[in-house]
Amino acid sequence: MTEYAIKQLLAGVAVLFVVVTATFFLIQAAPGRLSILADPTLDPSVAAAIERRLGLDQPVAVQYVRWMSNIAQGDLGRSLVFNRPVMQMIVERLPATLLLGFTALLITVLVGIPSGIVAARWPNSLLDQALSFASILGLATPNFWLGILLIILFSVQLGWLPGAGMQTIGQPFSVLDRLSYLVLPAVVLATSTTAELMRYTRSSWLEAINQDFVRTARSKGLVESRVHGKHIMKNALIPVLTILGLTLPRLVGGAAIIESLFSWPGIGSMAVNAAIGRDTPLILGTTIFVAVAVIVSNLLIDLLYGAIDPRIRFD
Amino acid sequence: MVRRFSHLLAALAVTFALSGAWAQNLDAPRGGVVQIPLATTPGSLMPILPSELASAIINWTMFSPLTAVNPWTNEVEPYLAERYDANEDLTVWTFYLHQGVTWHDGEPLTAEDVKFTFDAIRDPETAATTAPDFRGVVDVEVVDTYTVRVTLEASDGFFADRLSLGGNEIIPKHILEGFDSLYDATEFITRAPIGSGPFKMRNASPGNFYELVANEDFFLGRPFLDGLTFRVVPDGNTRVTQLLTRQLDWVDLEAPQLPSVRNNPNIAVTTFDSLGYQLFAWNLRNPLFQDPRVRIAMTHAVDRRAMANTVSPGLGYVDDVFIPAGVEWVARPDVEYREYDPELALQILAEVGWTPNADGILERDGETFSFYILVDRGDVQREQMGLILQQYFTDIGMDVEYILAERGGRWLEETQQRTFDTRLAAFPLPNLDWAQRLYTCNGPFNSQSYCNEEVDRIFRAVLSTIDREEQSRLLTEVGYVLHADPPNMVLLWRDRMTAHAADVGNIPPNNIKDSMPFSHLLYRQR
Repeated sequence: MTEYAIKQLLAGVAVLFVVVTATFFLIQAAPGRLSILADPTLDPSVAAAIERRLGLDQPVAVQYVRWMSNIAQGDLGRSLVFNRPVMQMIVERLPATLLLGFTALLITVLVGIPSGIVAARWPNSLLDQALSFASILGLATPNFWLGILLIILFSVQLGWLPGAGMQTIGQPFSVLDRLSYLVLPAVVLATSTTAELMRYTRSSWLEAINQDFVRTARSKGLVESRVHGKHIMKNALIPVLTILGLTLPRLVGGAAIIESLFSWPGIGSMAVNAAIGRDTPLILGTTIFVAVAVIVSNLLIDLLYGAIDPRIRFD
Repeated sequence: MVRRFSHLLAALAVTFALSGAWAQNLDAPRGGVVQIPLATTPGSLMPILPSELASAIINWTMFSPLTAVNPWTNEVEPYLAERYDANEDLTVWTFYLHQGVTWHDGEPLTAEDVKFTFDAIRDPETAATTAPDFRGVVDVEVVDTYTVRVTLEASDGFFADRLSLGGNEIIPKHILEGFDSLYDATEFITRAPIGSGPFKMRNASPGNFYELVANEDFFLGRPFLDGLTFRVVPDGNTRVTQLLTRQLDWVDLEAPQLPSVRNNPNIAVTTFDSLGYQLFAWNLRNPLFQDPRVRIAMTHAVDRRAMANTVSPGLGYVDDVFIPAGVEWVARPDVEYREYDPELALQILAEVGWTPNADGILERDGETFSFYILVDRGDVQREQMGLILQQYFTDIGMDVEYILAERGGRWLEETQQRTFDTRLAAFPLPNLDWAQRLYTCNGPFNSQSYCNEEVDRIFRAVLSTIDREEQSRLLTEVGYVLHADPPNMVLLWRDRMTAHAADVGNIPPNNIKDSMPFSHLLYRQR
């Protein structure tokens, strides 16, 4: 398993190299300039001075080599707009993103898996149909639109929850206050992933129900709850893990739209700002972070497969 | 002989404004906090470093410029400088600072700080966006603790006016002189600025919020509010929603957002002249447009009032005067508005030699009247106006292409390189000095390559006087010349709006950014 993990990590480094290289040259190819240079009233001599100071007057290849050599030394560089180390900015934003991401993940797991099991346990029942309809609705609804609707309902109309931000400014920290800000973005972020997980759980469960070992378990006279709780669950959850593995980096890497909509100060909203402002080091820094999240979560899921299912071996 | 002017204390100037339509309450209750949005995280909390709108907004509240534009009257007033004067030929300007002003850390603010700031702006390494304003500065001299003298190489009647624009606020020498580069002062730039403005930083959470508290020792008097909170809210619609939920107290408003707040009793909407206009610019390097008769004919070919009513119903006006109506001290030239008259347009074009060919396209000596309109993506009004203009010009037989380009990409590139055929743009006129930047032959913003010797001569005269009446007379004269030889086509003097919580007082008729130097007058009803 160790050998497999090392191989996967090395492959991850190669993927990372390709991703950041492609991102770097895509940014260069995209129209637009660094936000502070995109002012038509900016004097050309000032623009030239800014470019000189930031090294943007150098050929793209030189910029790339310099940036990559910094990366090799673990230095993500400094934001062109904020003049701060990119790593520091990511670390500052990470707790907010993790809080939102893991809350959404918790909702996804706590709602998605049980509802998928319930739907599969009584297939084609009214409950199954209602849950299926809800999941299709959850998948089909654009999350930014759902977010706006929830803000209008719960913040503007009912006044129950704050519509944006992360805390009440000027007041000491309290868990209740933080939760009140967390509810709406976390629910919106979790809506499609919950629906997705519910559908995968249901189909995976239904597939497992028809397997020979289930028939054998039932023929041995096991009670139905034990058949589902022990024999089916263990087999049905393997594909579910794959979905969770794909969902994890999406949630942890920053939900750009949701964070922007709810003014949640995480990595996603920072990435959006960086893209709008053409802040190349910051865009690349967040790209690296997300790419690492994808690689690591995929590796973890791969390793978990082996732990859950003894049939899967890595050597 | 020394010319003296603008001797009024800023506070007294505010008092005078009481008699105006936009009177301020100077006996307002104290206390409370007002929450204001920033669309992005401020790039720099050091005002002279290059940055963007969010920085300009917050920095105005923490730092003091020598002069400031009063957002109620749009007049330049002394601010940190209690008064200032200039010599006869306007080459030596002397600024007399308020005495007893302190930085937020309690240190005294002196002429040394002013010299430090101006020298830093002039240093090419700083890459200050306002460096071109200081290009004519020969020397900055500390006369005494509270007096600083600036020597210019040529007459400049607008020097003090330019200091009122964002990016010229004074920064503290005692804190920053120890850094090799101002960019090394990272904590100052991102979290812990020390200014002399009405509010000071208490808690900065970059990307999230900035909590400011009243500067008890502010030299124009303690602010009415206890504090200001700036929230980073990137999405424009979320800003309006937060206004509705009282998480924000004041937002700049776009026309489509008006219905959301119009009938809300807790919200007040302020409409005001933006002092800027939407324009259709010809590239006058292109022989197609060099004859002013062609430009006049094209102006007659467009029903600009109908277009304005379509894209901005009830919010703005159109005329052929290149000075905003909001600048009341300049008498408006009595020029005729060029009405929509396509027949007249064709008649004028025929006089110039442009007549329809067999396909109905205007042609002269075998050349067809072909050009493209370059429009920057993102401003819905300009995108709409570009399409409407294309139709009007096509209707009179011109072959017109509509090109929608990224603002920071092709649009900016062609603007700076002056390679466009025609383009749509918005041009701000925060003060009338900017007019000469746009309309004079070597003006820095003259991307349309307009050049009229008479205009240059009059603007030279404007720069060599500080007599407002004389400046007004000259600017009116410019208006007549520009009307006869139009540099661009005025499409819309667009009204702007802000919306604010009804219990917040002393909101100026201006956008949030330009109101900030007078944020100490904001108050909250008990």
